[in-house]
Amino acid sequence: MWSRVGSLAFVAVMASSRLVHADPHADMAAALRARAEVHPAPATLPVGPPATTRTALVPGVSHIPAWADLGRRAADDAGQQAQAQGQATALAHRAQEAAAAVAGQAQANAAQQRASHPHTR
Amino acid sequence: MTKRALLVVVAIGWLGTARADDSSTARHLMAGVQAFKDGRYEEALVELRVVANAPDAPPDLAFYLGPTLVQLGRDDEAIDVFLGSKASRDELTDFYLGEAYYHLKLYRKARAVFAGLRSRGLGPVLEQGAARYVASIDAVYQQPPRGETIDYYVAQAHERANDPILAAELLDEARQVEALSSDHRRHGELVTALAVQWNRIGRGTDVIELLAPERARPAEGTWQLARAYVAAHDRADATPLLDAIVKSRGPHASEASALLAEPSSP
Repeated sequence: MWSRVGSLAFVAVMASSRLVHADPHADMAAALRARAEVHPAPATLPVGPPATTRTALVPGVSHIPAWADLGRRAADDAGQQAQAQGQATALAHRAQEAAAAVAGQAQANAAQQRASHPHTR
Repeated sequence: MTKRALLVVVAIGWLGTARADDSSTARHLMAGVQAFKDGRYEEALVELRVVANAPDAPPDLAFYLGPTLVQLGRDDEAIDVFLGSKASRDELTDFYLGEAYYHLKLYRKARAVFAGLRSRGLGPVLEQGAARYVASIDAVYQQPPRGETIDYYVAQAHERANDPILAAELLDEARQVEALSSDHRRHGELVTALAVQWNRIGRGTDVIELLAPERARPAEGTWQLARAYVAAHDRADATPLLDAIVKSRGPHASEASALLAEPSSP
């Protein structure tokens, strides 16, 4: 009787002590290995608002680069605008020339018509 | 006699077990681990937060808490946990730190972690995973990065100004991206802003490593470097910088003067 009770108690103690001495680090390590993301989604580089729209990163430091950025961007914009304006002017010239050519042709046609049919007047 | 001896052994064992069981921190930690294993990350987080608030929280809590936050998509908090931990990081913790960086598009930081992990005995599955991360990042950096990418990290750092650890990581990423770009006009601004953040979180040694080799430092950079030397009790290097700041009568002149007047630490 005693030996049976003792054996059962011993088994119970051993079982519970195994629970207490479970190694959470080893358990977690196994879980971390099993659940690690080993097939990453493709990387995509992010883009943010231009530097000129933000406030100073460090007072007295970022002003120079920020203003430099602003100047560079303004120059780029002006350049693009000038280029567009130049293209527009060239187009207008070409249109004017084309219109003049068309008008000239029309005048010439009219003169030719008048010359060939003087009685119609 | 043998029976009595056996009973005594049993009783001692039971008492010991009961005492160990009474450690609620251990119980919560095991519950957190079990919840993580089952994929119940919200529950794992609840249990691990209890552990974190306990006076006997294990020093390697980041090993449990950090990956749980990563699995929940709370990568910014995970980075705070990983980098704020005093325990030495192991390979698995670093793998999850790399994941958190990658999710937040801190690719240069992620690349450094994964490249360093590939030779640290992770086992074939994780090693191949680390190699995939490195390859994916290298694919987007085949061309020099554009200024808009640097702008993104700077804007994010502004938004996270109340989280100095993450703000510093974002600025460090911006600095590394800028180094790969073809336009280096923002270098001074970025290293100085990073130095400010690193000084805020007690990384004075990194500030010295960052700014001491700089040939042309903005005035703010000189001030941050001087502060880092003072924090490192390096008066010999701090004094000439502080003198120059006082003479310049710049915005930090009075603070520099006060630091010069302080007695030297032993």
